[in-house]
Amino acid sequence: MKFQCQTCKGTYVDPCEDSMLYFHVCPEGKIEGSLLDETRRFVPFSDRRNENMNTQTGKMESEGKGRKEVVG
Amino acid sequence: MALPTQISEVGKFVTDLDYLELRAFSSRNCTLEYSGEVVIEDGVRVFQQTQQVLTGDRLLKTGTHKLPVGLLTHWQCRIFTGSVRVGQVFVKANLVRVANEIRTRRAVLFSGYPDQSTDLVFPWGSLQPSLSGFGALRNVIGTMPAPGAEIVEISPTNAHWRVVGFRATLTTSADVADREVTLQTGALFGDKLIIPSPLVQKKSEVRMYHWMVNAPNYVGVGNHHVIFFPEYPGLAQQVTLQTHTEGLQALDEWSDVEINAREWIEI
Repeated sequence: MKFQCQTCKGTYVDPCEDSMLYFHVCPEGKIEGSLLDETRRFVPFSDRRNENMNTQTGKMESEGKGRKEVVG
Repeated sequence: MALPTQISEVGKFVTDLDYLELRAFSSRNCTLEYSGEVVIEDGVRVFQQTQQVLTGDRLLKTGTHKLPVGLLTHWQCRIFTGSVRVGQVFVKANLVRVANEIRTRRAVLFSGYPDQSTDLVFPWGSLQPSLSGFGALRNVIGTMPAPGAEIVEISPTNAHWRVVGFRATLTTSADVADREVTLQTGALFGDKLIIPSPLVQKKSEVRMYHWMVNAPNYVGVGNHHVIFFPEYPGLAQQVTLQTHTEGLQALDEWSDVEINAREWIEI
């Protein structure tokens, strides 16, 4: 199934083609604005998602803003 | 207890204070089957069997199995259900004694990677560390980030990756700027190994970057750009592999993210 992270808007497939689980993690942020009008800037993502398992809790490190299934 | 006086097998004496501790880590959904034999009083052989269901999260699953008092002559682990390759399920069987509330590991019966054709056995089996062998070769399709964002991939919890290759495509917008791409590994959002592309990518270009072990730097047809890895980057658990693009613009877009790696369970 394909998902879109609701924090960073990245898309990914989980599970992988080899049927193993995929663990998404958000980048730090993204570039917004333009060089032309000098509005280009780095905007950090707040509430980043990290799907890796925490060995102490047995749950994912951080849910972030969740994920949604997408078609395609 | 009268045990037989002539026993040809190698074994471990088991008392009522002892039990088996079955520790397993798996990157695939599967069921393990453990079985063995204990010679009890008057030389009677008692068959033992238990199962352990594993999910593919690589977290530790611990099972215990109480044995009858006697001589444990044989214990084995095999894949009961699930398509498992070497490097994907790591198992360790301990014989543990609890006396006066003190827990003592009397013996490690076996440790290693069972697969479709290989069982782990006691006695005469092996004690492999989790980073032994060739690992499982994997092809991981990564996250396609939103425009203006970098690629960040992470080695999963309790996994060890030895990266063989990393591929991604950068499509640049019409914004006039030089994009200088590097691939970096490190602790979450920290930098350690940095592998730069020797070329600059201009506006409105599509370029496919292939970081590959033992491949020379060259630009191939169709804007394929091969970049040399100095060695196999080894990533312990939860270490990132990420791009850093100097001059990245808001409408630049990374896509077709693909990692080839050998993977082990690392504990």
